[in-house]
Amino acid sequence: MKDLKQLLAEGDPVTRERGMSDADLRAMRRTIVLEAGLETAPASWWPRPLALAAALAACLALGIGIGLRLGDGDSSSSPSRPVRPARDVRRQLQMTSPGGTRIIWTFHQELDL
Amino acid sequence: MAATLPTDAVKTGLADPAHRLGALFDLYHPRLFRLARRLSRNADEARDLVQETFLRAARATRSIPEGDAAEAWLVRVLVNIQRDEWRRKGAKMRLDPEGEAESARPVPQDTEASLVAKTTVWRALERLPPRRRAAIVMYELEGATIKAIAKSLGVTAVTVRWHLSMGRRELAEAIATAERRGLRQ
Repeated sequence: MKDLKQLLAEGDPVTRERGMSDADLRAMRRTIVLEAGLETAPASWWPRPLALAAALAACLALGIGIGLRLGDGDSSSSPSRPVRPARDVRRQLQMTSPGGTRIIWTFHQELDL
Repeated sequence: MAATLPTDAVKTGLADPAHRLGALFDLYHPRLFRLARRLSRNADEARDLVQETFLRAARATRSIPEGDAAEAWLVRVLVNIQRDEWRRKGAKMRLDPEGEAESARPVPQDTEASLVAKTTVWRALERLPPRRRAAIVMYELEGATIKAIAKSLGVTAVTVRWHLSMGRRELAEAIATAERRGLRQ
C-alpha cells in the first residue's frame, strides 16, 4: 500500500487544477487595497489626542454650565433663608472625568460669576 | 502579478497600509491559495477563503507583524477563518459523523485501487478539524518543519506532533474502512 504522503500528493487538487485567473487576482487585489485604504482613513482625522482634548473641553463646559445654574438657583431662592456672610460661603463644583478621576473645584469666596 | 513596491519596503513596514497590503497580497497569495485549496472542498471556497483572509488583514493592518512573520500571521488567520466556518457547520457534521453522505458520492467505476485510496484519503482529510488538516497538509505536502507549522498555527510543537499523529491515524482508519468496503463489494 502506498504511504500517506504519496496518496495525498497524487490526489492533490492543486496539481490538477488551475489557480486563480488573472482577472480574479486583479479584482481581489483591488478589493483588498480599497478596504485597507478605507480602514486607515478615519483614524487620521480623529486621533486620540484630539478626542481627549474634546472630552476635557466638554467637561469644562459642563462644569461652567452647572456652576452658572447653581449660582442662578441661589439668587432665586426664598428670601426667608438666612443670608450668610460672604466669607463663610465656600462653593464647590464636583465632577468626574471619563477616566474616573474625581475633580473638585473650590471657588474663591470673592469669585462672582 | 508584479509587486507595486519593493519587497524590502513591505517587509520593513515602510509602506502605507494600503500599499503594504497590496504588496503582501502579491507576495503571499500563491502560497495562501494553495493552502486554502487543500483546506477547502473546491476552488471557489478556496478563493473566498483567501479573499476573507486578506480582508481581515486589511481591517487590522497594524496587527500584521513585519518581516517574514507576516506570512505566518496570514496563514494563522486563514486557518482560523476555516475553523470558524467548520464550527458553524458543526451541527451538520455531527449529524453525519461517519461521513456516510460523502462516502456515497460516486467514485468512477473504472478506477484502480490506488485511485479509490487517494480519493478516500482526501475525503477523510475533509472531515478532519481545520487545524489538524492544516498540520497534515503543511507537513506532508508542503514539507514544512514542525517548528514552522507551530509558528504558523500559533501552537506549540507538541500540539503539532499530536495533531499529526491523530490525523495520520484517522486517515489510515478511513483508508482501511474503504478497503474493507471494497473487498465486501
